[in-house]
Amino acid sequence: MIQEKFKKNPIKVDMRFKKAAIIFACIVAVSLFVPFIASRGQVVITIAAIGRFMSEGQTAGLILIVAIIASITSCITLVAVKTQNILAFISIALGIIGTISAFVSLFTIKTASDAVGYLNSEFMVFFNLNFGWYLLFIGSFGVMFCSFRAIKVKTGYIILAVLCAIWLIPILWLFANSFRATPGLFSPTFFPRNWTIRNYMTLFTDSGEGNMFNFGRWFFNTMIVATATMFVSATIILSTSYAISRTKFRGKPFLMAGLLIVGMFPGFMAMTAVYFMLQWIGLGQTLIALIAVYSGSSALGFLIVKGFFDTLPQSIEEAAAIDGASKLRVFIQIMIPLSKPIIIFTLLTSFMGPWGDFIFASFLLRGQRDNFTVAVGLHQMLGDRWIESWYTRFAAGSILISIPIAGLFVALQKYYTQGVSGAVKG
Amino acid sequence: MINMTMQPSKEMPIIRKIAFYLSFIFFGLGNIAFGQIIKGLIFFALQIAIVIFFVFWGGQHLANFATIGTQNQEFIEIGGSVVTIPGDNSVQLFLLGVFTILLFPAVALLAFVSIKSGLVAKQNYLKEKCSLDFKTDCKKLIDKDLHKTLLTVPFLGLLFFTIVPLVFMILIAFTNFDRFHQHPELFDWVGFSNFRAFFNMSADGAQIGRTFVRVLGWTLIWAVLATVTCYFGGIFLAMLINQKGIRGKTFFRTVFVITIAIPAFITLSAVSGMMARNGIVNILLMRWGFISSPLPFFSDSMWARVSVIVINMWIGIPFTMLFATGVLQNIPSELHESAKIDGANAWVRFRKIVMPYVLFITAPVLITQFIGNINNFNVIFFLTGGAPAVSGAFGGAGSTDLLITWLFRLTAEHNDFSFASVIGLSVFLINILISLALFKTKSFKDDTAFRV
Repeated sequence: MIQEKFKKNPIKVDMRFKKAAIIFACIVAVSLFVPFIASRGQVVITIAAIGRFMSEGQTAGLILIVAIIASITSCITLVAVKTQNILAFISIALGIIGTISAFVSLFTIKTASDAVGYLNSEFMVFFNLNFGWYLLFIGSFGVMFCSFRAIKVKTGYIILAVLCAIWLIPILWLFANSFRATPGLFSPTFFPRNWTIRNYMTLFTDSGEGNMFNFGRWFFNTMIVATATMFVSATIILSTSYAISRTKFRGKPFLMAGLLIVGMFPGFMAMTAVYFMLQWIGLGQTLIALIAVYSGSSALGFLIVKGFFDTLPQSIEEAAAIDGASKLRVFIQIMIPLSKPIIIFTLLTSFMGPWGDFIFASFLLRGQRDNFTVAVGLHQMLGDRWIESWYTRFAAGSILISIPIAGLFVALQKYYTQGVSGAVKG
Repeated sequence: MINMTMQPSKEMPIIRKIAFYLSFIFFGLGNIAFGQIIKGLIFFALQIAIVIFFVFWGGQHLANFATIGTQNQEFIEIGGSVVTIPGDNSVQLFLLGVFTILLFPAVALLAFVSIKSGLVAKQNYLKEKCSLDFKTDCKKLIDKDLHKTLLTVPFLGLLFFTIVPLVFMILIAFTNFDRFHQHPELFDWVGFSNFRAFFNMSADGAQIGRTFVRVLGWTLIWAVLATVTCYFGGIFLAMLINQKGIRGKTFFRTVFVITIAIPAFITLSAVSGMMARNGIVNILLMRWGFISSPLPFFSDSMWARVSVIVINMWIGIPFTMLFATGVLQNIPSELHESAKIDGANAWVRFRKIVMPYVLFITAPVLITQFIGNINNFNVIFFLTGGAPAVSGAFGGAGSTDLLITWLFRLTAEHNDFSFASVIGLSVFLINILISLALFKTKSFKDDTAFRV
């Protein structure tokens, strides 16, 4: 159906943007003959610079040539096509290649110019780079933009691609560093020169001097705390929200207002007193204490789940009551099965809280290394004394604890989105 | 409804009548009089326990609470060796005092519950001519009184992990429990002097007032900028992904959602490392010749403040994007189409249709996010740790420190609990004021989420 429709009404290429693309291609051509590098009275036009770079075997020359050729070919292809077809998408692809090459060349020009003797001073700092590069970049970007618009492909893709790159760079960097052979924060390149998996192995085999960094143990602790908290606090949140949403009792507005007001105190404020209380009953610095603290005040997060229970139809309850079911039975056998999305949401958020929490754990466990959770433990590796020998292992540990949680989250993303959107009634 | 003025009927034996009125003093007597022996005994046992507690310990706890310890730790030389005589432990005495004080409302609650229960038993006796047995009463807990069953555990959790600790900490604000008064030193009540210190703007001394004003100012600036940037950035991103004709929506959404999925302390530490003085960003920029010396991302006050706001967008935008997606999809498409026919371009449609609609729906979230940013510990702690330091600041509050990270610093590093408590109270005050604004927004009033 759709295929036929597509063939009958092919999407025409927009002529206005074809013309604009030709103008931008001309700008690319012009950029070849304007000053490219200006250094100490010596002015070199682009084409001459490229020639020198090529003859000296610098990659910058090759990248610049690719940028120019790809952009101009993209324009020519664009002019040749009339409807949205494969050739049209080749034009877009060439436009993208041209723009990226023009942009990337910026990072190689200094090395190349230094090597061939054009530059022996600062580069961008004193604006030694001249019109040539800017014209080249504007021209190639223009050609790409025009081909996107002419072929009626959303230009949003360009922005989204750039944003995706920005969002993924830190994660990519952490990932690359977890495989770096040299220890410490300092790395001369983004991707390590020597790759190794030793960081992952030593994380479990070598716990540092005085058993400082027992990652295996921390991982195990975090798993226990997060799992136990997940069940306890999900039970607490669900029963609180259900009671507030679907049972009738006096003082309900008072209870809700009280919960909201108590929730306005910074959670950490109570921790000093909690710490003394736990210390007093002999539970200080233990995992049980941590679980109790995470679950104990979880009732404060009742609002989203209550909002969900509010939406369930009243008639189900009434019908069940006529059939003689007790309210508890209605809750467990009818309402719970109907609430799968919000239960998964509650379980997920209750699990993720302790998994990533630093502030409560670091304060309550104060120096009890064996009971550390990964957040507290990994943070220790970034201390001034340790960072130079432990940074890459920190990266490896981070990747290890991110993978399960990120996998879980992405798999259950749908429920999470439903949950947070539930907070906003659209 | 229970009619409090109802008179006992004439056929009621006088002994029961007396027992009922005596239940105001002896809890549970009313229940016993009308046949609910077990329930009545439970109330009575609880009352006896409380009375015994007050007679033997409670009074002492209250007296100690008034002084918070008088006996200092002493060293006595006996036969050449020094013997330590332990003094009072102020923290423990304080804690016991708080517990004892909180027993008063508990007693009041017990009295209320037992008298009410006696009334119910009496009414039932008059109506049915028989007493409610214990079993039926218990069965009510899974049916008519289900809320009691459901709320017991959450309430106990809140009581011990939030309410008692908060009462403790609020009262600590009126003591001098700071770094100079740690066990075995005693601390004492000081009235409002901690609060006065926060209003003392003179340059000399501990500089608490000046530091507080600076940190409070930055906290508010940060909260406004962080909320606004993430909010509009998120809506922009959601609109970008939701455009007609963009394919792979799920893929793009997943990429951005990954930053929510990975624990914040990991991603933030990674970014902090990348932008450090000898981090990869500075190294690459220097090698490519864009700069000649490292950029002071986190070491210059202004740079650090801009950096944390920009990096916070990286964390916050995906979250706004998630819920904005749902809101955007719900905008009635007729609005867009009729606007298009009237010749409105994309910008006008955004300004006149999308923004008002989204703002109306998400105003409560905007304010919750503002409160969330005031309490945003992670971003500041893991990116800058409050740095760069400000000389002479109280409690080492740096120029990017928020109230909440300052609170953490004072608690975890300096043991200045009393000042930390005042800061906690001021954060509470700010949150409450902003929440009052929340209740005033129109969309919150119309919103069914707050239906009681």
